[in-house]
Amino acid sequence: MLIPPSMIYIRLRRRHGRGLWLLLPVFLAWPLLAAVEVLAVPVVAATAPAALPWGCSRTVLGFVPRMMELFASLRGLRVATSNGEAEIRIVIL
Amino acid sequence: MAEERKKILEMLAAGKISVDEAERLLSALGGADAEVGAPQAATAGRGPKFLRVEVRDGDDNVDVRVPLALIRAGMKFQSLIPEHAKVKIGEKLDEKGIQLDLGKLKSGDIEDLVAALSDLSVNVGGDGGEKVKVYCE
Repeated sequence: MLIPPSMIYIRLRRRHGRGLWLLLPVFLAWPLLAAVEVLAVPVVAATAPAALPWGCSRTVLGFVPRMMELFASLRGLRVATSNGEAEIRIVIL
Repeated sequence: MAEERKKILEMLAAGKISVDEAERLLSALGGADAEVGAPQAATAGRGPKFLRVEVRDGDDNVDVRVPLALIRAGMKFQSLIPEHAKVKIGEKLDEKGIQLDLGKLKSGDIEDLVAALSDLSVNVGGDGGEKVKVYCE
């Protein structure tokens, strides 16, 4: 089972000077995302048959679950870049 | 397990542990989850989980760790592309000399691709001391 990201850690640091770090509590948005998912159900149910003539009903039906899966898969993503002067690090936990 | 995850995150928020330590603990917890779960999940949990790309060029460094699950989820998006759009994409790719029929791409192929990525290891060094490493962990 995929567990959605709980936190996003962002760190900006300069060689000479003060650094900055942020810890964003993404888990606080989980209920909101769940609500969006629930609210999307009637919209998708109404739109999917209408999209049938264009051959897009499968796209409409699968979009929200696939987006949620993509979001949940972000956990563990880490990007760190640095040069002689500064360092940027983003970690999705 | 949810309680343990919560505890780790609380310790991180309180500054008792570093992000790296939290990452390691959460990864270990993820592995334990896989062992507790279905046998298939346990089998999947043994393989590499991330694709690492490291570029070192003197002071300039880039280190990217992409979860293989993200690649898998991204690849699954192709199933949402309408048939007529797949044909158009195929034509455009063909113009560029890329022979890829998205319509024939099945979920099994995605798993094969991810499995192939798991064995991937690329190590390139330049004359100027720059190094590029691509591997799975």
